Amino acid sequence: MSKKYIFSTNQKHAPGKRRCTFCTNQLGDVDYKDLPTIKPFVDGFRRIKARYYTGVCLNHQKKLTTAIKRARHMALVPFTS
Amino acid sequence: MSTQTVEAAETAAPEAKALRKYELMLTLNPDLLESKLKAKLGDFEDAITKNGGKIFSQDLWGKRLLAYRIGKFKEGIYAVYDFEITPDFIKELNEQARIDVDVMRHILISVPEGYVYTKYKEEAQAMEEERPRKRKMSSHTYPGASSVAPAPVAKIAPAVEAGPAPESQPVDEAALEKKLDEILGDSDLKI
Repeated sequence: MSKKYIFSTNQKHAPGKRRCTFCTNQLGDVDYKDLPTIKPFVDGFRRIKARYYTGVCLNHQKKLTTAIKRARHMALVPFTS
Repeated sequence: MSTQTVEAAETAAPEAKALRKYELMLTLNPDLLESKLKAKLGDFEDAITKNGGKIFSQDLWGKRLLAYRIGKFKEGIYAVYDFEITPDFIKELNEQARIDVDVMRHILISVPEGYVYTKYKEEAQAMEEERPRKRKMSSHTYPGASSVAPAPVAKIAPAVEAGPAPESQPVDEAALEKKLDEILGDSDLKI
């Protein structure tokens, strides 16, 4: 993770500019061990943010949810807080 | 050229079909002794290698704070294996991890063909690199503390350096005791 990726997760009020952050940074799969990448897509209560707010494409949202759920199972990330 | 590649794929097919890439992550009991931990990990390595598998990388994260309490434990020992094995054996390996008392949690997932294991930075470390701290605590000294605090450090440092010359030590000790009395006698001192 030497590159700096753009993670603009608040895209609700920018309808014209809604872009998937994973697609723009050309990231294929989401790894459950990559906690800094996962973090912006989880809210203060540690719930997975909706696509409506983050602008992630459906393909990547599915990968992201599996990654977060795997990380939760391995106690890398809390279920709630 | 295309025919050549097809032929190559066909010849390699029986071997390539048999093996698949997987990743196994274990969260182990933090109270395990080092020798027992080695034996436990060795068991899993043997289980993979003796059944025609091949381990690409083994990563022992060591003790790590859990995000939530599991049973009575607040931390666990993490280990990650990236390996290749026949799909028939995956059930047994999963069962072995499940049955094991010292394995608190485990995850066994299939991984895409071109997957390369990467060790990601900790969240705090990544944050630090993104926006480093402006101030460092050590650079700041309080004006009141400067008269007392550096003195004992200065006394101790030469004693360590002058190891071969023991004559100077008793003098230092006496001076230190005096200094200690001074510090303890100070009315501002709060204990």
